[in-house]
Amino acid sequence: MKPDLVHGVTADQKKARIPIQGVNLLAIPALIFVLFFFIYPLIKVLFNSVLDPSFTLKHYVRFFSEPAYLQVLWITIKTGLLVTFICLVLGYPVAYMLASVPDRVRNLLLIFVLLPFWTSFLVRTYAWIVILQKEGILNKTLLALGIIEEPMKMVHNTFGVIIGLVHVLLPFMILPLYSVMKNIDMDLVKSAQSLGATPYKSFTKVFLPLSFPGIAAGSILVFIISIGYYVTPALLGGRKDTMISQLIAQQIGEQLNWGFGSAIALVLLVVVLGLLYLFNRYFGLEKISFGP
Amino acid sequence: MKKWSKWLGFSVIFILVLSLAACGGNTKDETGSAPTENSSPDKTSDGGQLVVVSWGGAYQDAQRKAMFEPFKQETGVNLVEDSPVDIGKLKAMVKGENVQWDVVDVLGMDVPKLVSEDLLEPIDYTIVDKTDMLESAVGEYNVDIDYYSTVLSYNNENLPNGKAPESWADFFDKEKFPGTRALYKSPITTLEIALLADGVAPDQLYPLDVDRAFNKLDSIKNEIVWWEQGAQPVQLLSDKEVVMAVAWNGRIASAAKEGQPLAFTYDDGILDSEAWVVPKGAKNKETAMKFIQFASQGKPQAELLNEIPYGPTNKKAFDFMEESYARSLPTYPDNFDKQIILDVNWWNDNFETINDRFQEWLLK
Repeated sequence: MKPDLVHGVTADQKKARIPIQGVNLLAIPALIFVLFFFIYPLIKVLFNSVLDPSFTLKHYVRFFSEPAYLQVLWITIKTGLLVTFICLVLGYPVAYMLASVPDRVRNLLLIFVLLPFWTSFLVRTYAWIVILQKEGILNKTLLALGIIEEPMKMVHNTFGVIIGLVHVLLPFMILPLYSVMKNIDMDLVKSAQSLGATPYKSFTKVFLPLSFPGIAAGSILVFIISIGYYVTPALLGGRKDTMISQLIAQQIGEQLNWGFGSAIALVLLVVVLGLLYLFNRYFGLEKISFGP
Repeated sequence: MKKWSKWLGFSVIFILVLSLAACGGNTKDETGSAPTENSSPDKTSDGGQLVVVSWGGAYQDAQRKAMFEPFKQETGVNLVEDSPVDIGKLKAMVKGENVQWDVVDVLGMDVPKLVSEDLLEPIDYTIVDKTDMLESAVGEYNVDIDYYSTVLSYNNENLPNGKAPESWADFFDKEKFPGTRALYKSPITTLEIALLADGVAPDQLYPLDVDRAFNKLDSIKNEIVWWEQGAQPVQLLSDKEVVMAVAWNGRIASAAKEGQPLAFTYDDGILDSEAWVVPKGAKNKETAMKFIQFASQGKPQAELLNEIPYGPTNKKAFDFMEESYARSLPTYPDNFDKQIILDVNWWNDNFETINDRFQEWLLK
């Protein structure tokens, strides 16, 4: 039987798993949980956005007629994509290294990845302010070394937001990548090379496609989490770095305008689902894998 | 099979998307600390139940000492604390008809919003005595606890010409004070400050001339660092990241007390209050009124504000303070007269459209 390279298992192995036919009783508690805590509130949010107190579309009209809100939506998506891309570029080699070093070294390296993960992200965000600000460690060092003459502006702008978010979200990229790479059969890479492929070719033709499920999982994870953040952009960003969840939080928690807040939340949801639809169309969501 | 894993992928992502809102934190953290809960009943006597909600941190610690514990001692009420304050949560409780809170410490500017949404119980003035209270501090649905002021502050060790800024006009003067300045990321108080800087007389401020305010703000637009939490301006000043900052007086005074070289002026400061309110449908309404009466007396107010430099709303509170300290507080008559009271009702009527414009202006 021809092995299915994408899933790393043969069709026979798949059949051996628990069959999902009819109603799987074991899934019922989880299903009830999802219904109560996700589907029901979501329907409430939908109603909130169009009933105020009788049917109205004014919240959506407000959102789409104020250029500011569309701009914030665009900033949010742009920031999310940029953060995802940078996390991928930085995280891929790290994950590759984790997957290829001996166990003892790997455990140590994994601690380095996980340690910041366990520290409050608020603490890490404040730490970036200390490092990046005008009188901060980085600027002072660069000034002392004579590399720059004026302090650089690295915080309270988009640069600060990107740094802060990448730092917080990098583990979400590295871990899925690592768990997929760890299970890639390196003999396949070796055989490609023994058949005459250059290291570059054997990477791009064999290893990279096999790691794609990890890339997809990590990227989607990082993208979705990053567009939902609002504390990091609020602390590290400037006037042009408002993210959409800041608007939602403001409307729900401070303005008590649940109608408008719900409408913004639904717009964000639809946009994200739209992006996922495009992703699925061109890459295939079934390729996502968080592990073997 | 393939279809199933696809659906599984979809559902995982769907759930992730739905949990978007969980990726933040508490944006309105007044005093910046973890929730505290104090549920140990001190007395066994049947004095009733009461849930009081405040902002956590040093502020709530001081309230516990000055108001919560003495009230428990005196009445035997089993007073339980919660934090932080979240008016979104308050609305959810009232709408869901499951009100867990009895007395809540909210910002004065939030009161009209809560009233217009019909989320509050009227204050029972047969129980609450307003004789010694400031006139501006007692409303139909609120009894103010203290006043805080939005003031012009600076770091004494970081003055560009060795001269301290004295007025909002100085705040907008790029020649005299080159460098960045920090402002609160909200149109509330920001527009007032711009108009005062532009020469509008304090008593002519409302209704705000919004166009004029935005014009004035344009002149320093690229020199502004925007902050959203009260601790930020203190840190921006201490780190010399900005030359001046709009800040809340208590924050600057506390930092100065701890030895930071920070200072501020009350000239044209903008006063807003913190207020006790009772959510509609609170389970222990009557005990709540009794608590508000207790907490609004001069002595407990003085004990709270001896530790937190905000201004009392009970005129008698100054009698329980050292005079030099009393003089430093925002509602001390000399300081009170120099300042402006935020028109929370005007803002309640106009916030929505002005905030849309503010957000747009920020991005341009």
